[in-house]
Amino acid sequence: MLDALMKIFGKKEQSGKIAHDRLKVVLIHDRANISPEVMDNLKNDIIKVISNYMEINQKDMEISLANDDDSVALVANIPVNNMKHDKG
Amino acid sequence: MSEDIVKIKGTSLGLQLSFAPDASFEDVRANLLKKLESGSTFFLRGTLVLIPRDVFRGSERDELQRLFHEHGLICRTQRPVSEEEQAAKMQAEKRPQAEVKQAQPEPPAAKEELQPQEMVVINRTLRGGQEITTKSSVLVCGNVNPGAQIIAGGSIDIRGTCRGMVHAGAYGDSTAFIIADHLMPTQIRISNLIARCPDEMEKTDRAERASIKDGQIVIEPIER
Amino acid sequence: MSEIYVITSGKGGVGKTTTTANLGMGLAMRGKKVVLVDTDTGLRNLDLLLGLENRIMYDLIDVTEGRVPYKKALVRHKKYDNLFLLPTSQVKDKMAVNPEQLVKLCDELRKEFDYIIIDCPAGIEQGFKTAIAAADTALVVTMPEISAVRDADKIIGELGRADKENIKLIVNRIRPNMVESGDMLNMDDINDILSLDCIGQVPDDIKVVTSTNKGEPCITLEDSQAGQAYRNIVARMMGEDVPFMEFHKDGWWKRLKHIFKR
Repeated sequence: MLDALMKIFGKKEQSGKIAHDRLKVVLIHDRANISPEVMDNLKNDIIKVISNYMEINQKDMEISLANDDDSVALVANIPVNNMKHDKG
Repeated sequence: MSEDIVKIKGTSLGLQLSFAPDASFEDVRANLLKKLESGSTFFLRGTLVLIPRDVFRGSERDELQRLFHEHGLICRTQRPVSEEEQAAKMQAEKRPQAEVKQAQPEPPAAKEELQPQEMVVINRTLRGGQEITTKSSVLVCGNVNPGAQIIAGGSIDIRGTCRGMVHAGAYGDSTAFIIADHLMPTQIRISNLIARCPDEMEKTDRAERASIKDGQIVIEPIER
Repeated sequence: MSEIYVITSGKGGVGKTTTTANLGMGLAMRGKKVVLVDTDTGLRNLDLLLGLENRIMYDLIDVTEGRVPYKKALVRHKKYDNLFLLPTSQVKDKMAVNPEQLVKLCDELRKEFDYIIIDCPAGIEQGFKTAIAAADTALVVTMPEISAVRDADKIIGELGRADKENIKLIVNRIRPNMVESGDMLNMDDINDILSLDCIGQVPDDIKVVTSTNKGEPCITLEDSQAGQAYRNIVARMMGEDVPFMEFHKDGWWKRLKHIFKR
């Protein structure tokens, strides 16, 4: 929000700065651009770890990379069925 | 039956071969080998043989080309052309290209030495990376650009600007020569002699001819 | 009936992708429905030049391998809604698409678009062979510089070998001052060697750098000489007869400043 306000009231941005910002985001995305196989492994590892603490719905689970104008995020949507009891 | 595996048609460009559609590569190769070794009058040394481009794989075509080369024949590939296209093509090649600067008659000296049925005619500009290798003489109606290469057993005549590498008399004929409207090649070779052109070459305004005189390659202006 | 162009050069860095973005946008500005196809798989850049790098969901490889229909992979431009981008993968490489796949894709795209412009990668290997496979016309981009012209010549030869006979030339990054002082090849020199119909002469323009930074092609800028040159090329592509621009050379004051700087 502050960014948007800054853009309206602030000085007109130099194109060099715009390029720098865009490049930062695009490189994160490029470097993080995960191939399907790696994505599968990532998913399976996450399932294993979380399953130690709670029962999750693996079928409806979703993991993906989301990017918008200035950041990249790993977003995981994991429905929880039940908490597991402490194992001894 | 075996005769039909390879069909031969004589054209003014050379011998055009076509293969029976169901013939295997092995059949064709064996058939050709038989014909070549029988000393058939079709396959005289120096004859140009054209094989269709899309019948066999590249490696198989290479093998056929090698086979012909071993028997002293030049083998090139082409798209199979119908009779009409063939006739039209021959008509077109008789007319020199529009890009040639002056319309000039063929130099009389060259006419005697370049026999029509042993000449390879290239009706376009040779681009960088392209290469012509032949035992006969070569006539180019177009330019020879830097990075292009002509290796000819006979002489070379370029109706345009020569900026590439040209080698005439490549198989030992030191009477071979090279003519161009503008002779500015990266390298000239005649028979086993090599000459390099000066580093700063201005575009020449007269046609020139390179030939061997007194054991050296000399370049003289000529009238075209 | 749609027209398919491929923008190629052989040499890298002469301005193929910039040209693709500008011509695509120019045609869209004149009301045509255009799709730009990036085939520089592994090193994609067309998305950056159009400012669409954050909107890529699926790419060319997803389409050619049948995972999604092409419509899902198309990215619509923010401002011109008749301009679309089909981006390629940044993860795979150029062996991931073969010529037949691209031809098949273009056959489908033809039904929907007035113009299909394919951005070809540098080089003469598989990436190049794939990119040119479906094209009706090839636009060869070069610079007035000896290695660029040499590579362009090689590319023209390769295009001929692939039976692409419809070839036009665009000379990019021309510096009129250098041409005048004889420090840069001029159009006659280039024509002598390449012997191609010239469809565009684009001057070197710093506005190209700033527009790339912002992701807005310079053809949209009224006061950009390169932009004007691109607008002229678009007009010629649409059959109009437009004379080549006289370039504004640096006035004598600017040249004086250059001398003192040295």
